[in-house]
Amino acid sequence: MDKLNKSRIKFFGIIVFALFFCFSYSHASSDKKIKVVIETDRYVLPAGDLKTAVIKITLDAPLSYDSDKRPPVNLSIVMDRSGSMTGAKLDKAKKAAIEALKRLGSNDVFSVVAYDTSVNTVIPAAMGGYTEYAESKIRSIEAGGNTALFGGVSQAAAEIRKNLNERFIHRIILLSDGLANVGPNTPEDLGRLGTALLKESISVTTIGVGTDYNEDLMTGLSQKSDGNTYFVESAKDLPSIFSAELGDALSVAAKKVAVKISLPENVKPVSIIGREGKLTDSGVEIFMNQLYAGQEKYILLEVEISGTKDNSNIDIASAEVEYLEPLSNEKIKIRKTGQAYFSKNKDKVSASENINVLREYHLNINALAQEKAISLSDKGKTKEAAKELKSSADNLMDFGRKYNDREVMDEALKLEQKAESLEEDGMSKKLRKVLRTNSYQMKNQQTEKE
Amino acid sequence: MSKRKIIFYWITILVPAFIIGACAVILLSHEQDRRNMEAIQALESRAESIADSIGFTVETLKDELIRSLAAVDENNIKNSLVNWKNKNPLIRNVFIWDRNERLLFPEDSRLFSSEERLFVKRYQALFSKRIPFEKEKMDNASQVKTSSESSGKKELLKLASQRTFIQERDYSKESKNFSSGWIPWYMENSLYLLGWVSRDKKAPVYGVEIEMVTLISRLITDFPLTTENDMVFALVDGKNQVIHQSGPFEIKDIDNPFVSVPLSGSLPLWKISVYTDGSLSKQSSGFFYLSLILVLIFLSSIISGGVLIFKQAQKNYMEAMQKTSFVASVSHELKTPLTSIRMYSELLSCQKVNDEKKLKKYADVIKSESERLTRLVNNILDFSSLEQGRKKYCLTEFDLGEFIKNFSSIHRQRFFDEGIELYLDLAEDKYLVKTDRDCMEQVFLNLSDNIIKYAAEGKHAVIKLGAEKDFYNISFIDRGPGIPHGHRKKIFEKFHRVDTSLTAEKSGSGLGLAITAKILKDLGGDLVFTPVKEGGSCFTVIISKNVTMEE
Repeated sequence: MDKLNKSRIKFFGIIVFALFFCFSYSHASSDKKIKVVIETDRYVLPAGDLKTAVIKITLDAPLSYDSDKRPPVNLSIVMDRSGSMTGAKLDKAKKAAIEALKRLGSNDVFSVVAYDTSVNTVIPAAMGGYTEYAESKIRSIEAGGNTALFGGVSQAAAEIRKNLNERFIHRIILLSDGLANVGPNTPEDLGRLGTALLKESISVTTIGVGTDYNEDLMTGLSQKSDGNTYFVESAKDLPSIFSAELGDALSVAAKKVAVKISLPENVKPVSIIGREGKLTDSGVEIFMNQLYAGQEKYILLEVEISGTKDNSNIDIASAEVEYLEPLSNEKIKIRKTGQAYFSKNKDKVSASENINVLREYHLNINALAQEKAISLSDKGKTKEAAKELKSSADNLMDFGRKYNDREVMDEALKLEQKAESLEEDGMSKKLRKVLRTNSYQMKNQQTEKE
Repeated sequence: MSKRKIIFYWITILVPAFIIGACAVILLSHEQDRRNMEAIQALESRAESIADSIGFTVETLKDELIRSLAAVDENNIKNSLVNWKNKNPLIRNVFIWDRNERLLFPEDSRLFSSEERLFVKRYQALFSKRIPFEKEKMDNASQVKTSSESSGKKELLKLASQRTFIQERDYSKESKNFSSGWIPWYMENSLYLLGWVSRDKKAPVYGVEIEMVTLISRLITDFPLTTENDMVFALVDGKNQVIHQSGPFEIKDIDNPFVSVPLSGSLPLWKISVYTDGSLSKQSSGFFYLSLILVLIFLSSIISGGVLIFKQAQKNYMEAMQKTSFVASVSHELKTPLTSIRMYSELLSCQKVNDEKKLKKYADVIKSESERLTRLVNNILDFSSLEQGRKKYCLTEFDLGEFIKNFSSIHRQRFFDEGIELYLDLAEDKYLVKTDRDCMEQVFLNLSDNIIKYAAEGKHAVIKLGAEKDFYNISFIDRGPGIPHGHRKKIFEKFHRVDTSLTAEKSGSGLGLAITAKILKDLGGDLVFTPVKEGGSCFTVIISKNVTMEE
């Protein structure tokens, strides 16, 4: 749709939109489609020269399909079986993998890769769900040796690639409790592996067990490949995490979600808060590998707006969402344009705060503050890191109090405790993992599963 | 055996054995070296084949990428490249360079991503013309062989030739004007591969940077699995870090591979290295030691065989000597009573003696001498039947105390005749035993005879009976001269006598104790000699209370 046309004839644009929706309704019923909402941090934005604003583009995935009617998954579990996994950790991991296998159906593809110093494929990619043979193969995994994490993920990707067609939801679940010490092992390298895998629609979910794994590497791999990330301190939580993760993989509502946000000339993108994306001259491009049923994912975009007139209504952003409906693999395109009202009346402006947007904005800023605290403490500046956390907690608390938002206040309290423990005991391995994981989970809107 | 014979033995057996051994050891060490060389060569050729396969894949991949680049729509190079980069995991960055120190893409702007910034920084030397792009003709002749490629490599090549972004064009005709090449780029010790194409000498240069992570990730899944437990094949990068390994153990000393083959050309400074856990050299030296042990066993068997033959010969010699002395003494023993019997019977036959007393005495001598003769012959017969195991035992139950009293009352006179007082030391009790009574009689007789023959000067002899749980001990104790130290162990051997000379004072065949011991052992008992402190000897007969004979 032509942007200029829209901005000139507003109502015409709306009519075309309605037509477009009608057209798409004929493909799928309304509740099975992604809902796109575009909002700004204020209902009334200040008019005039160069003002910053936050635009939130929400993708709301429809609720889940019937359980017997879901897109098949192509799942590969990568299991660390280095010496440190010996005992309860490996036992629980094996149990969790078997439970996961039992939940798969006859159309799903499943493979298991285990790695220590070298990599071996325990169960090569095969369709057909649970068999006793597969279970016995998983049970036979024994611990010992080093950790060739890169090789493990590569091998899992090779197993996934055997069935790399659009029919499946491709997913690698990586479980590790240690550092990668064979093969490429920097967070950057693994991040780039994640990026490369995402280009093939393979997402890697990482589960870190215990406090000795490299959280930067694991979250990096998840982040770049649009997977989930989890931190479990003790092995006994593994089965529930596995089941939550599998729940996600089994309820994908949209695949290959490409969001193209076009901005008019007087709106310049400054940054994308939290998410990975690409700024272009005229907007932003963001790619997500999948949306889970009933889940809400959003993009927070900080923009600079200039040259707006008092009491004017302009199109502030238009989002073009393109995705594959996972069951039918139908390509679906949704367009949505968001408008904003500008005024010079300061009272009006300050009274029009959109708590919906501001809340997420603050939470994301908080996530970024946690990351900053990590990098500060990595440089040895523990005090500054604690200060960063504290001030972020204070900001969050102010916001929570202002709107009487219990959840935000709880979050602020938790963060304050973390800041205190950071100040007293320094950055512990566990705290660093909690901060890193929470921050990514927030940025990715990964629903916290207990 | 003479010293000369012993020396001869050493020379004939030991010297050849040692010569054989020395030759074998020399041959073995040569064989060892050869095996080591062979193992190294085999490993080298395996590593080479891996390196070749990886090199071939990478080269083919580069060719394919260049072909794809050459096929980019020249009117829309930038968009085609960016699209390609966004879709293809093998492409890390794309660029267009105007040959004049200015990059047309990626442009330096507010929207520069950090990756793009790093890319430009990385290749600054190249884009600022400090280092020229190589002038290299594109090699169209290289043919892609796909028949023997594994699935992973095929996938990888498919990625390289994935050019869905443009229409397929026949670019081969234009390729005369094309220049293209690959630049392996080392920056901060990491390898990057940059491929470029230019349509003619003035047109902009454009190209791609390969995503090494993807390349490695795809290559290592095709890395051959090793089945050996003692070696590791590893892909080692320019930083001497292991990228991937197949093999069960941790590499401890990365800098010292057993075998190393460079991946020259395709991935400079990278190599395929083979590491061992040390058991390979152990294994081959194990071969050496095993063979050495075999040689030693061979030698020792030769030597011990020689020693055995030597001993056997010595034993045979000794036995022959003993038998000769036995025959001589037995002949002497037989001759003495026979002489007496003959003499007295001649005296009787010539009927010149009329004195009743004398006649009686002559007849007594003949009787006692013939009895002695009978005993001697019996002993010899017994001995041969015992030796051959033909002796039959007849077990009866009787009272040993009663038996001893009986025996002493019959033989007391013989002791007395030699001036020996015989005492019995036994309690008034029942000493029931089940054994061969006749054999017991013989045992007692032999031991008594020995006392009478050799220990008459002691004047005293005691037969003492003691009982234990399963055994009776009957000791024959005398106060005679005892047995010389050197003979104590040998007295139970057949034919052994303390004095073997023909002129020996005492007669005997040297069989008595051997027979006695043999009988007692057959009946589940034993005969033990213990010297008596104050002089004399004690022979203890051990009799099992209840013998169970094996048939």
